[in-house]
This record gives sequence, structure tokens and C-alpha cells, in this order.
Amino acid sequence: MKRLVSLLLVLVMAASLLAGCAGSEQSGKDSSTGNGGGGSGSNPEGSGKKPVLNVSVFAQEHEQAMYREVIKRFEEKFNCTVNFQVAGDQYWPELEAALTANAAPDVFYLGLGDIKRRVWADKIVGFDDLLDVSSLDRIWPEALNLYRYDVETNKLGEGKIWALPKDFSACSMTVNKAIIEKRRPQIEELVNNGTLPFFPEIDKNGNLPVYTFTEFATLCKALTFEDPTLPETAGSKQVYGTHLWEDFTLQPFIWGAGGDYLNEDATKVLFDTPEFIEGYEGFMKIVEMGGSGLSTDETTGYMKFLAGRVAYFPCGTWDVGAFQAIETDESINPGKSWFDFDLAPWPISDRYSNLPIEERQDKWFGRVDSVGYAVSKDSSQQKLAAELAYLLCADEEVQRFLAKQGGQLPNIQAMAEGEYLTDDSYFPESRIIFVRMLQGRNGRRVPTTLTFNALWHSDGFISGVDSVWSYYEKIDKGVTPMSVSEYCKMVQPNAQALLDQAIQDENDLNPYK
Amino acid sequence: MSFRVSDNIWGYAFVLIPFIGLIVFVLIPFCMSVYASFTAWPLGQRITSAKWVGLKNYISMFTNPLFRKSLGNTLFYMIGIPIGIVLSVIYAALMNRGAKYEKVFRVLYYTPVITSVVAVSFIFQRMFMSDGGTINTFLMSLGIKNPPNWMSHPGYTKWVIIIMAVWKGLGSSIIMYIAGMQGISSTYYEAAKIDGAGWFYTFRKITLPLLMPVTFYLLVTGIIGGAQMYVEPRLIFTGNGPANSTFTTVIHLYDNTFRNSKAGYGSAVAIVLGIIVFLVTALQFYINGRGDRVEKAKENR
Repeated sequence: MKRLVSLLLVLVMAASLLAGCAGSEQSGKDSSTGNGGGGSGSNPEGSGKKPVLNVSVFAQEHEQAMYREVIKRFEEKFNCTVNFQVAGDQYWPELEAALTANAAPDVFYLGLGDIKRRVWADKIVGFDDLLDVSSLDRIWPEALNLYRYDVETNKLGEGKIWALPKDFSACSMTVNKAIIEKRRPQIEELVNNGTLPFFPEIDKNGNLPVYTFTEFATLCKALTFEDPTLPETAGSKQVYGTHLWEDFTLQPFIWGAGGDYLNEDATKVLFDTPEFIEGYEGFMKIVEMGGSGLSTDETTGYMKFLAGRVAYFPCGTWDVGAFQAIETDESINPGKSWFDFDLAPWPISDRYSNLPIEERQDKWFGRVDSVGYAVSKDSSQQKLAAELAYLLCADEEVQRFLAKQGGQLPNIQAMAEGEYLTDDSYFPESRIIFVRMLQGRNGRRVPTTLTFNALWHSDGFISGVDSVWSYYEKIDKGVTPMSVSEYCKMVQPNAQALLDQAIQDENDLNPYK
Repeated sequence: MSFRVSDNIWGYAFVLIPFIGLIVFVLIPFCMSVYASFTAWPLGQRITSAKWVGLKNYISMFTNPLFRKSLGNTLFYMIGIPIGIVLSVIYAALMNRGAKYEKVFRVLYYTPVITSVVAVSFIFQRMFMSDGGTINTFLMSLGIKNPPNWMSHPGYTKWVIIIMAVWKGLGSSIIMYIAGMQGISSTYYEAAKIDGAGWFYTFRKITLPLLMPVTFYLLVTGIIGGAQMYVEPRLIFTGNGPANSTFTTVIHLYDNTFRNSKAGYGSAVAIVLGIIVFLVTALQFYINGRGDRVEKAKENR
């Protein structure tokens, strides 16, 4: 009896030890784990059984219901089962782990900076091999080009398409028109005395109010005031012209000054160039002139903007839904009294101060980005997975729904340039700004997506910007204050070294070199 | 002594299972991590296809000012360990006197231990905000006109983490000390009382020395846990914190491994951190063991 009990205990211990090594097929069916991984589907093509696909994405709640509806149609059409997994905050690390373990789902997200790595590691399949390429004509060519990569020439933007865009996003400024209205007399005075060339609104010819750095800083200063009419829920009565930060919002200033972060082939960092320094100085001019929220203020700019306390703030295509919800909520924002948002262009160099408004239209730029649907090389249902990715990317109903929710612009170019602009059920009012950015007229790709890693930017530049803020804010932040020029020249060598290392790491990994 | 296989075989069978687990889930991954630390291994690819780079990751790490900064931050956070131990002893002594409602206080002090770290981080973030936070509002009510910028000034940010970590961990340390105090034989106290020793003298000469095993345990586990701090700085502060003042070595490891896809470098950081913790722990065991050996030598004389 004792030996029987001992045997049972040993078997239980062995079973518990091996329980963690369950097969991927079973784990793929568990959509509640929120896992970036989950394994490929089963039942290879031609096996006669109903194919199973695993898709892993992250999506907001209202999007999930729509996705499930679309997937249901797909399952009926192709007689298959789709395990739709919605992941949480740890999507990317979990996806990395799944890819390393050769347990990636059939369809997963691909970031722009990951294209080369995935191709070299033979983790994804080109869509040219899986779909009729002519069916992709309806998608923004600029968006498709983001996912092109030629392994022979090692050039992005050319060659095979390695993913289909889940979204094609742009980030412009947004302006809270309620604050503009409250300060109308002060702004009109600035226009009348020639300090500002025009009022911050689209003119009768459809020209956007593009300001120079100094003009914009002056405007932000005029929009920095104590507003007693703000509700108590705002947390404070202090309103700021803007509240920006380098990591996400410095790029438009650099581009507006005619500069850039990297040279054309992304081999040289340009932090110490006159144009970069001018753009960064234009960015800090707002701080210097007192038109910006403080860097020591722990309430984030985003929270302040949502509370109606910031006039100008960055707005991605993904933000529009949240902003619209506040604007139209009569219970908290009656008559749009403290929140009425619309899009606005980024500022440009002071060198353009003599240009009339019409000639300023093509001088400003904002960031354009995307994340795509990729098909796993290990998928036993590659063609089917590609069809699903295409459906999620280019189905008219899906795109219409997502755009009307304010989550993204339609991936279908004709829809974005047609219905999206003419149908008033879409928002915001100046959404032409997003379309112009996606058309390439006012949009630029995020520099960190052009390199193997972003260390040259994060460690080489962003990690020390407190020194610059300390200099312009005149606040003790426990660091040595430095002007923009001093800082840029100081960080340039190390940033270049980090970029050189990233290029070296990339070359070491490239099996096609 | 005869060797009876039939008696020992069940023992070996029981030991074999966790031993296999140790090899499969600890030793093999550890060896892979050591190997990876000498390679340029990008996450998402098989480790066997990683290029051998020798000591490059280690050189890159020790010459990286951000790594040195993260190590300095991690060591600074260790200040919370002696603070926590001292407070725990005091609270445990106060909660072990057989007073009324003592157990209620024990439950109250243990509650932070079981509270979600996410919720606690959010609350502390709000409490320490310089603009309308509870702490600064209180300090200003005491007449302090310019209270510290807890969340923005690098000189204060780490103290927010330390205060939170000490507050959250106090409960479990108190319970351990109470258990330790209750394990001390009452004959020592009786003898001390007969000799006319006061409460403080008794506490200093009897209670504290006999609580050394608990203190040693808390010190060892505190250093091991503190070296791996990740959640609290990540939740309370964005990025690396103001002027890189809050991020720890584990955050540096995580960012390089998962955000910059430098798993080889991340492995090197993990190995170095592990060696540091191992050496410190070994030193602690040596010092503690030396104390025991000195005591034994005295008894044998």
C-alpha cells in the first residue's frame, strides 16, 4: 500500500513537471490568455479536415466586436475556423518569444522596424507569392511601399510586400478651438499688430494656418492663461498653449526646419546639423517664451489636453475616436464649452516667415506610421492566412467601420480620398490634413523605423534631454543645463557610434549579404 | 552499513523529478543564457544561428553610461532594506506584547503586501505629485513653501520608490519577526528579569541577537529581490525617469532585449547582475557563518 501511494505521488510530480510542455495546437485555441504567441493553426492544406487559423492582434473593445463579425463571414466563406486572439500590453515581447520558439500564430502584427529581421530569420512570407498582387491596387501604394523590402539590394520600399497594412496612420497637431475662442480678442490683436500673419483657422481658400516657430510660440504664449470657466474636473484652471515632448513630437519641428534625423541611406545621424539645431531650438522656443506646460508637471500633457487645458497637442489617427467622444458628450462638455477639437498643421522654420499662407502649405510635415498583418512562414495555411490578412486590411465594411469609429483612415485609397472626405459622418472637420499626410505631401516616415534598432535615438538622444529643459525652463532638475546647440553637438558622436553599431549588427545578421 | 537499494529507490525517484526540473528549467536555460551573452543574438531568431562576438557584449555593457547608471540606481534602492528591517523590528515588538486588538493591527499592516502593485503604484504616483499631491499639500500646510518635486527632480524620485517598497513589504517582515519573537524561549526573559534587566536592555541583548536568523533571511532575500526591481519604477515613472534617475538594471535588460532586440546583450546584463547578487549573498553567508564559528569557539573554551 505504501509503495502504491509512493508510486502515485511520483507520477503526480512527473505529470506536474511535464504539464508546462503542452502542445502548441491546444494553446492556440485558448483565446483568453491574451498571448502574443499561440502557435500556428493546424490541418495542413489538402489534409481534408477543416483548416484552423490563429490570429493574434491587439484591438480596442469596440473594434473586437466588428472583427469577430468579419471573421465569422470569412469562416463561412472559406469553411475554416479562426481563433481570434486579442493580446494585452505585452503583445510585442510575447510575440518575440513565440517567434523564437517557432510558435507564432498564422497572422500577426509586423512593425515597420521589424521587416528586415523577420525576413532574414525566415519568419514571414511575401504576399506576392500568396495573393494576386493586382488585388492590392486599392490599398494606398504609400502604405504598401512601407512593407516592401528587396533582400538582394537590402533596400526598404522596393521588392516584395511582406505585410499588408493594418492601418496607415498619421500624426498631426490638434487644436482645441474652445480655447482659441476664449482668447479670440488677444489673438486678433496679435494679427492686427502684425505679430501673427493670420488667425488660427482655415482660410476661405482652404489654406491651413501654418505658422513659423516664433509665430507658433507667440500664439502658444497667448493661449497660456488661467481659465476660471473650466469645470472642477479639469483639476486646475491653468491652460497652456501646448505641451510637447521630444520622443514623439520633435520630428515635425526638425522636418519643418528642412532637417532630418538621418541622411538618405540612414547611415549618418544629423543631430549636429544647423537644420536639426534650428528645428530643436524652434521646439524649445515655445518653452522659452512660456507657452508650454512644464516638464516638472507630472500630470501628462495628454491628460491636460483631455481636460481642456492644452490648446495644441499631437493627434494621431488613432486618437480621434477618444477626442470625439469627449467633444460630443453633452453631459460633461455642454455646447462644446471647453473641448472642441480639430486638426492643425505643424509649425515651420522662421526662414519662411515672409511666405504667404499659400506657399507655406507644403513646408510642414508630420509623422506617418503603420503596423501590418504578416503571415507566418511556419503556417500550414499560408494562402488562407493571406486571404484573412487581406480581408482585415482591405474589406470595405471593415475600413468604413474603423474610420467612422475614429480609429484610423481607410486603407482603401479611393475611400480615403473620396467618401472619407465628403461624408460628414466622418470626423474631424479638417481631416483633409490626415489625407495630405498619407499622400506624402505632408507626411514623413518615423526615422527610427529605418534602422535596425532605435538605440541611437533613445540612448543617444532622448536619455539626456532633461539638460535642455533645465536650461530653457530655468528649473533645477539635478542635471547640467545645456542649450540646444551644446546638447546636440555633445550627443552627436555617441549617437553616431550607436548607429554604426546598429548597422554593424544588421550586417552581421543579414544572410543575403 | 548495508546498502538497501529497494529502500533507497523510492527516495531517488522522488528526488529525480525535481532534479530533472532543475536541469531542464534552470540549469539548461542558465547555460543557454551564458552562451547567448557571448553572441549577437537578436530575439526572434534561434540562438543557434546567433553570431559569436566574444566579450563584445560585456565591454559594451561596462562602457555604457546607462548601464552604470542603472546599476547605481539599483544599489541605491537597497537603502530601503535596512530601513524596512529596522521598522519591522520596532513594529513587531509593539505588536507582540499581548495587547488588545494587536491582531487587528497585524492584519492592517499586512494588507499592503497582498494589494496589487499596480494599484499601489498608481496611488503613490498621485500622492507624490508636486502639483496637488497629498504629500506636498500636507507639507505646505506645515509651512514648507517649496516642498520637493518628488516626481520630477532626480534627487527625490528614487525615494518615492523606496518609500513605496518599504511600505508595501513591511507587513511580511513584521509577521516574520513576530513569529521569530514568539519562538524565543521565555526562560531567557525570566532570567533577565530576575537579574533586574529593563525592557530595552532585554530587547537589545536577548531579542535582537536571537532574531538574527530572521534578519539574515530578510537581508538575503531583500538584496536578491531588490536587485531584480522592475515593476515599481516602470509603473510610477515613464521611460527611465527624470534624468535616468529611476530605471534599474532589470529595466535596462528588458528594454535592450525586447525593445531593441539585443537578447545577447540582455543575457550579458543578466549574467553580471546574477554574479553581483551571488557574490553579495555569498559574502553575507560567510559573515554570518563566521559569527556562528566565533560563538562555537567561545562555547568550546
